[in-house]
Amino acid sequence: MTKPITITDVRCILTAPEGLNLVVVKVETSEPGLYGLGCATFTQRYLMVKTAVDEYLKPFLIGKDVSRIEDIWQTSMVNSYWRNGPALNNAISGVDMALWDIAGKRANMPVYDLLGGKTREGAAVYRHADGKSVNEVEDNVRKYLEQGLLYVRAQMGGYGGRIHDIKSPEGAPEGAYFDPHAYMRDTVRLFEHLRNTIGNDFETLHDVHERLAPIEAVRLSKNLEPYRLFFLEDALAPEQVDWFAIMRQQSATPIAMGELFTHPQEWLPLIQNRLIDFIRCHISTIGGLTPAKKLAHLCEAFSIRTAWHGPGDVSPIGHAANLHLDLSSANFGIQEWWGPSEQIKEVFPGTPELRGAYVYANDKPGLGIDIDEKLAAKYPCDNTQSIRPKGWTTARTPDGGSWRP
Amino acid sequence: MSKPVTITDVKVILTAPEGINLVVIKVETSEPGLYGLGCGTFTQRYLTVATAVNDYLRDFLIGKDVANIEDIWQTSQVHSSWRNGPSLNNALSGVDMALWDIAGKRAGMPVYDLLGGKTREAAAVYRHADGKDVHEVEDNVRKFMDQGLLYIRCQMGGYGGRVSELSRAENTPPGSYFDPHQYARDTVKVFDHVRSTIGNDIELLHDVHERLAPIEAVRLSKNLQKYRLFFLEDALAPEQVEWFKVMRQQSTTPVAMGELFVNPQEWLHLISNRLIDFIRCHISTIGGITPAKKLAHYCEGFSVRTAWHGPGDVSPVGHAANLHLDLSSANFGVQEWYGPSDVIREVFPGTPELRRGYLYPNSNPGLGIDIDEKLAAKFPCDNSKSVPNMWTTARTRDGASARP
Repeated sequence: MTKPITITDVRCILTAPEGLNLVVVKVETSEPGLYGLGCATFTQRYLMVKTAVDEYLKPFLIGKDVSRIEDIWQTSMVNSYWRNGPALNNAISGVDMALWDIAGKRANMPVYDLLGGKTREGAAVYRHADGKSVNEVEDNVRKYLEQGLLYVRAQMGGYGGRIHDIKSPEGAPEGAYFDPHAYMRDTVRLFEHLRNTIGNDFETLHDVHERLAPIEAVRLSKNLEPYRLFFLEDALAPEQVDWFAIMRQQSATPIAMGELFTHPQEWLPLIQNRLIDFIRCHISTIGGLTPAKKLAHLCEAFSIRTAWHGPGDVSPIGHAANLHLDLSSANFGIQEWWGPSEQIKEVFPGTPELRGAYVYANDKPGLGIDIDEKLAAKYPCDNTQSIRPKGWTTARTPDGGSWRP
Repeated sequence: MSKPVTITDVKVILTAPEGINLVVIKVETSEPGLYGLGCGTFTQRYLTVATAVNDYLRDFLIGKDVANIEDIWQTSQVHSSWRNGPSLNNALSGVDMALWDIAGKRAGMPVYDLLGGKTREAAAVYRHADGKDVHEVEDNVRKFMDQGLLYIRCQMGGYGGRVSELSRAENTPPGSYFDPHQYARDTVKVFDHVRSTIGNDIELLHDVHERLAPIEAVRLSKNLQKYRLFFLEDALAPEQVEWFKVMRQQSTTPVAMGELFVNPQEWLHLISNRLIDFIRCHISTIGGITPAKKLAHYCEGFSVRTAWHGPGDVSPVGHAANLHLDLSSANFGVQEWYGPSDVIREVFPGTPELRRGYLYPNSNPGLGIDIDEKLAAKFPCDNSKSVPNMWTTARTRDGASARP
């Protein structure tokens, strides 16, 4: 028996090339030059992920055999006894993706080949078009269509549609105010406009971002039926998932859900009861490639497709991991894509590339992506800006009541 | 309108008077001498709770009105966008309990009076009896009975029943090894022995601690029917809760569940479908008194009783919070109690007191408990020993990882 390759160090790299705090975990091994990278980005609480890695996972993992990916995932999950939360899951994801990266490098294969090989050559993506008026949104949708995109998500005024004059009671606290009713009316108007002006020959999507009361979300889903959405995203909060049973009885608009999921009990009933059409988890927040691949398989058995979360608060390493899953999953649906800056591509050589409607992987071993640590250090993370009381996560309705963001 | 009392600081106090790492949050206010204490103990990851408070919640909360407990709970919970995990919930709990403590002090009332007043004078508790064989377990049960206890949890060989050295597959990695089958067989033997020797005039409980495959847990629940348990605890892992339907079809042994719960999707269906009889959450891990009181009310609607988690990895501040909930809840069931040492009582003056089977609060305003910070500092937390070889690395004979 040859001597196993073992973990010699586990480090967090914090970097914010685009102003978004990213967490990357680097797992170093006993084989000179062999290391792996994983995404552990919980941007709103990145320092908690760092504590979880530095103080707990690192001492737990040093000396372990890098080939024991499943065992390391299982034992790391239960090592804290309490589990299934976003901070701990992200820390475990950083390690898990890095171990898959290492396995690919050892096998001299891209990770998608370890996961069963390519089922398609590129992953179709959707981009995000916003605007202050229906005409501005229309212009932005047209720009993406001209670039060759096939799927475009349309929003107006950001999440919750914040383009209205809000009338609040005296003494109302600071917050990111929005009006759920105005937002809902505008959204129907927006899609009516897009279908009237641009037509039916493109796929369009919308993200409710948990901004409506459950029955209002059901009503929106129904009212949007004439505009044939590819899917309606996060129409309900994770605490409200049982309401999807009612949405299903009322509307044929396809449903995508899961960006905020951290726990299997959030998705299991939705999938087994066929209450959603696309699973949309942030894969680092459910614990990495190991649980995401299993979740994709679970979904496949119920003919539910994948649409992994892919905005700017996923590091390029996380985007690469999404892509390896996309390419190797028979039940891939679509991939969210954020459009990386030149700056972030320099920090992360090997960042997947969008050409036309599709994002393409390179064929390097492992995840096929690296980090320039010296360059990454030039973009330090900043915690202060994320705590402001007016930040977008402190959502409030006109009367000052707290709302899910 | 009088000027509001505001939060001026949020501090993390880490202390381990009994060798178990505890997290206490102290919320200081603009009113001189007025502060509150809350429990934020996630002993296995206490430093992540400290980071959540020091680097996030503190700055978010300074300047806020201490009266707005509900708004602070709601906005703090969604502030991180991703939520419902054990680290964040414990941080939130520390603040939430401290705000209830402050509200009680401002009102000159114990917290149970803010929650609707006492529904009983004291909370009946259960203690934990273990042993290496059935006779030792029997002896330890009798000792608790002599002290006046009315409810006793019986285990043999610790969780998973590790009573003998196990033969293992070659080259298996380090871990806390146990044999689920041996454990299931032994557990029936223990209750057979305790009922035959001590009789039926005592309430007995047992904690499976997620050590069995689901159908084995169902079988154990069925096999224990004739020994009339008060309840069977954590028979399944939180990832397996749908199996409680099968257990319900098979066995009338009462079911208690929830020590590991962190997310409402774990408990909602169990309660609305009447699949459990007792809710057993670790209240700091679901976010404090605010969500726990709501959960108790939700359970009351379905005639499910409370049995909040109460071992040594809850700080005395958390135990006091449990007790205020117990006393004010119409649907209180039983309270787990760990028997605090004299040393922890000195660090936490006002720790509730057990007398002849019942736990009593004091009638001081707020949670009625304080912390001697100088003394607490003499018992620093130690992270190093808890990491590489914890009891949580449970493994079965072939070396496979199991839930702990």
